[in-house]
Amino acid sequence: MPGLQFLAASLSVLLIAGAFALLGYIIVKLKTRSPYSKSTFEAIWEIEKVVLETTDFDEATHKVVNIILTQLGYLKYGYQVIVLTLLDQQKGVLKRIAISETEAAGKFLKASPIPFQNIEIPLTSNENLSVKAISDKQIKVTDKVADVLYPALSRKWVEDFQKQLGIKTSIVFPVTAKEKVLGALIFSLNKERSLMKPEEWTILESFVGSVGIALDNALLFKSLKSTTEQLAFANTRLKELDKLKDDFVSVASHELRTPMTAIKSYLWMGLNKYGKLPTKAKSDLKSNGQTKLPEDLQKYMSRAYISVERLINLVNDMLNISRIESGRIALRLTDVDLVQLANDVIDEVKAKAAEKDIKLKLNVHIYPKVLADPDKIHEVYLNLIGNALKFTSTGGTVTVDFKEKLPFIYVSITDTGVGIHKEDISRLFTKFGRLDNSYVASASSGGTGLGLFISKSLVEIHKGTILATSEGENRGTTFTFSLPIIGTEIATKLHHDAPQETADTKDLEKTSVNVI
Amino acid sequence: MNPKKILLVEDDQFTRELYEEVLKDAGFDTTTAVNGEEGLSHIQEGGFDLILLDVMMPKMDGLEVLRSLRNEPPKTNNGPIVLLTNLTNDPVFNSAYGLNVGVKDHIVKSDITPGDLLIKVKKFLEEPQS
Repeated sequence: MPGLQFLAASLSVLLIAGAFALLGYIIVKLKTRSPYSKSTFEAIWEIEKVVLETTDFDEATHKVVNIILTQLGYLKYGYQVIVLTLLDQQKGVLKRIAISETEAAGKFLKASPIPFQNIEIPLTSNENLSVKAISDKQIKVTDKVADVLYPALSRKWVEDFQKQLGIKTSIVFPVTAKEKVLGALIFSLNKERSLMKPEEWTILESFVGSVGIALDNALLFKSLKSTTEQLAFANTRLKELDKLKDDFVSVASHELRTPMTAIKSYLWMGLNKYGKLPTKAKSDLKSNGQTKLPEDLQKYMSRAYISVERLINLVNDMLNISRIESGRIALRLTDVDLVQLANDVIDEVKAKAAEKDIKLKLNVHIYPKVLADPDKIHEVYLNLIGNALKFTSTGGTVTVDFKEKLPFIYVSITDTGVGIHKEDISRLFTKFGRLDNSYVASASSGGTGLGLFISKSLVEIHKGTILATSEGENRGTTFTFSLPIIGTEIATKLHHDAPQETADTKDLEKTSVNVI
Repeated sequence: MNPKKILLVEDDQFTRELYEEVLKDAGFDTTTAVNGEEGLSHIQEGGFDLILLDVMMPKMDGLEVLRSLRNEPPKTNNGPIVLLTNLTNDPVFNSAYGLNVGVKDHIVKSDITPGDLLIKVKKFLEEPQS
């Protein structure tokens, strides 16, 4: 899944970027606000470790609030509770997400009338000091804890509880990263504001800066994780749907084939016994030459027979397209001699060419082998040579030629047939892109209108290209496709990227070439 | 020489009757069965030179017939079994060959004409039994 790989790659880039940002931040702080105690320095490193090692959001936030107390030993300086709150812009609230594991915090958690996680402050509550700190992007200090808990908890309750714990000061720091406010850190102390030393402020500030980066990273992790999960889920669902579609197409085609087989077989019986078969199919069945079909009935039945054959081809082609598009056509790659393969196909269609007195020419020089699935390329050849025979009138020529131009072998099939208008060429390879779409034209061409689309798809999954050129109407057409020569870089890449055989992959349906 | 005995197991009435007509006209001693169960009981009696077995059938499908044959081989030996189906490229074929109960080939019905069927049947009957 390229999407996930991309996410994983961005994740590691973010990690590294985060680490450098933090390091840079620390260096700047160290230079401008020295001297720092050893423990402060260690605590900052500890935070960086959290950023680097913790991908779980909740774990990261809990570590962050506890490091300050345990690593720095700020408990003894009167720091009782540290709370991390986070902005939820969607809900328009400030949410509490982590609290230090201190004794005072434990008492609060026990006593609080609503669970800690449910304490939400609406961003419209301008009286609340955390909201103010965030909107002003300024540090706020108060001697009333209720200022940071109102209106989620009543002032009366908080005042009583504050007395029990002996908290005298609460400080709210807005937590920012990349100039964006993420939330607020609330420190509650059991000493007066006036007793705080200037270094304490400095250290708290640099901590909050580090927490901002840590939090930003943790948030990114969280959103990436959920996006990844959503993508994985969507992908699984898509695969299921794809499988359902493919199964449906398979079953439907089987159901269609049963009546089509009956129509085809019964028409064949009638034509074989009493009339003339449209194709010169070999028959061991005795035909009853005594009762000839009336000329008009012979025509009706022949045309019905030709049409049902087309219908069967159409079902096969649609199955093929469904499989190609859902990646269920596996490639069995091997070294292929394109000249030999062309020769095999020419042998197959020789009789049909002879019927129309069309010359088939093949350049028999030796060319390097290509990497391909011979069955699939056989289909491409059959389609292109079949087309050339179809659209070339009696006495014409179809030539198969090759050109080596690293890293590809180019195969060209040139006919002396009806040719194509330049402006129509782009439509050739689309589904049902046959040019003259009137029924008579398509019936006499005997094709399904899907052959070139399938050929193009097959060549392209081999990392080759296919194109058509024509000098214009009645001046013939050349189809050229390319396949990678074995041992080239692109052949290696094909080996690597080609759809592999799995329980879900299937072969191509064979469609017959009808030259009428 | 007695005519060769062929068993045709096919649930679709039109297809079955047509193939039966073609085979009988060509002089084969043709027995038909309209579902897997009926087919299986004929196969277990044995003595057919060739068995044409449909795959997708009500009651008991072709693959189930083959599995039953593996557990309970026929009293008298039969000739080769050829799957007659409109399934294509299906894993069912590999399972069928893998059971090793005499499946020699499979024919996709929509790809052949009655004439082709007869050509194939004659070929299967000519091949030496291995």
